[in-house]
Amino acid sequence: MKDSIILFISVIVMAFITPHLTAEENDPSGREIIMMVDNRPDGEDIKTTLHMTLINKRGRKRERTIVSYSKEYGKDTKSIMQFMKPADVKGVGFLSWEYDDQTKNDDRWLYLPALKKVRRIAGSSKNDYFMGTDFTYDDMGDRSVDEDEHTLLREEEIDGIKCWVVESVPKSDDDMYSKTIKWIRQDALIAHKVEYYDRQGALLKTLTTQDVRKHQGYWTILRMEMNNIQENHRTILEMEEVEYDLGISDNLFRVSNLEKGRLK
Amino acid sequence: MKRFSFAYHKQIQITCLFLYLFTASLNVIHAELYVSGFVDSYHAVRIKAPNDYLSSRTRLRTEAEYEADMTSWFVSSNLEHNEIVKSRSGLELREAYMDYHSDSWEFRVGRQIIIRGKADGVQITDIISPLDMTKFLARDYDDIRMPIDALKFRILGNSLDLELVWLPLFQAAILPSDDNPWAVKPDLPADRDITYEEPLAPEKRFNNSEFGARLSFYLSGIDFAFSGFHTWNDIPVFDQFETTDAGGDTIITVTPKHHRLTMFGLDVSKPIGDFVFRGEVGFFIGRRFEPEVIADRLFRRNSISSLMGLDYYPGNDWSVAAQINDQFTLSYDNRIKPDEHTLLATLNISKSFLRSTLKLSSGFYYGINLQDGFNRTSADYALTDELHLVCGVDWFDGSEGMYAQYRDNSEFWIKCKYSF
Repeated sequence: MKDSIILFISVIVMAFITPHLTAEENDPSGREIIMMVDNRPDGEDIKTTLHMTLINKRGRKRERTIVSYSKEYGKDTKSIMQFMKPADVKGVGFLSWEYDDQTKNDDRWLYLPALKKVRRIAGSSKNDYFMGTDFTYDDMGDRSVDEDEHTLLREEEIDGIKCWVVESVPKSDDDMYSKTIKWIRQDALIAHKVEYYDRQGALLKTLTTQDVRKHQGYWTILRMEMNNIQENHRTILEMEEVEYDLGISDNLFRVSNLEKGRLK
Repeated sequence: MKRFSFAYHKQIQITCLFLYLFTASLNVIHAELYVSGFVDSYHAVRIKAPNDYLSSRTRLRTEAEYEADMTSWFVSSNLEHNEIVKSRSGLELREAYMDYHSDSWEFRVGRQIIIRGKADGVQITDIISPLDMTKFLARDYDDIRMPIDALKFRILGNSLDLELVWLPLFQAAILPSDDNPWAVKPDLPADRDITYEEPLAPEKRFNNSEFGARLSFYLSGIDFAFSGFHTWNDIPVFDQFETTDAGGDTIITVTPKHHRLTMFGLDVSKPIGDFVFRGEVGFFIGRRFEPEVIADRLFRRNSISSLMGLDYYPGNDWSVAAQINDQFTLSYDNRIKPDEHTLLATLNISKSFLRSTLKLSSGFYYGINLQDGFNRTSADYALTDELHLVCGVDWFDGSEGMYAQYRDNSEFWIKCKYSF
């Protein structure tokens, strides 16, 4: 079990959410486009069920289901989540208090029902894949805008959707990608498609977002698919039972709630 | 634990098995009834001749939870067939408790497992649920912890919890019985007559009950907790003395004894970058120690057990955890059998491969004083999300000490586990 699942789930939920914005600027720069995507506001809180389907080259499927609650505290976020499937990790829970202040480490706790014990955990590599999926932690958006150089390549209509095409090249040599190319929807400010290139410059993965719609006033991606071209393996992420602005109690984001075994 | 033999309760067991299988197959009977569990089959072969089986058992674990508003009920049981340790076969009630919870407080009453502290695989302040030493440490750690009958009350805050625990009846740790290849006897002269008496357990009286408290803080950047527990030592100390019979022969009488014990503890956990520092210390009042020579009786001393640990998460699916533990006997006397300082080091390393379907892990316990140790190395492969095949080696080494006494029990093992 990964220790940084909580980071992944938090950013994955945020990645699914996008506000009702319109891009009024003409010809913004690549960095400005990514800033608009990065700064998009969202609801005060959200409850969702996230379903993941992993499909290998022989068509064999594996599934994960996670229930998640998140709440904004200014620029900070608290999240709590629990695995519902598969059976061997059912009941595993995570709690995170994430801080906007970059000098402050996030607080994270992991609950393992077999051990009946909550433990502090630390961050791990953003380049790690999450639970056998095709998504790294970095893929899901927890990446500072200025970690890459962004260049607007062109405007393009794809699948009938008007997009900006932005190339992002990591500034660090430690990154697992040599570059990414993103098709950013101009109407919703979310990526319609992303191509990931490995360090040798070969296409590694493609991400496509599907079933994007407004839900309770927020643009929401209800389905996305990451396809690993080189390994012929793909992961489908689906959001179910999305509810915004529920007025979730602060009491939910306590360590003691992890030990209850079921989020209430 | 509540354990019944096949011979006398076969009909009950069959009925229970039917009910368990029926409810398990439904998965969810009612909107608020949840059933889960697993079936596992575990077999271990001694590495040394005669390569006999040290373990061969199959088990059905069923867990059912029912929720209604602010109340919930939980029942967990094992139905086991054990071919090597026959006394372990049967239906075992593992946990059965009721929870009542509000936003600011909750209580749990019934048979439950209570785990505390920050140490992994080493007991310091985590002394409420006793150990099941049926197979020493050579199995999953969650199988080693035993449930106890208890009332637990908690006051809940956003950054702190106060927990009060009362155990009306003492429950001793389970030690390997004579039909178990993991049974050990005290190290006594082979040329003497030895009489083993029944363990002296505390009487079932109110003033023999156990109770304790724990105040836990969960703050930004650090967790810490203060705890206290008035208890009995779960693993008996062997009181030995010599007598001479009418014929002039010397007889050694061995009496396992439990004694009152009071513990005050502190534990702390602090993440620093990719590391998590863990620390735990317990001050024990009234611990009993066995003597070096049989002529002496048990020594009563206070002691301090402390531990420092470091978890490292370097990424790429690696995980490393190291700990060092010191058990220090105060007012030490050279006639006491254990050393004044008893040091233990542990190391756990694991890595996942093949999209998290294969996990390799290795855990070491090393007794620094006597230079003996134990290693469990295993490979866990997920055939499906529900079905895991696990194999491994348990290796004991050394010439004397807690781990060395099992050096003939080093084993290969295989386990198949299906979760539902």
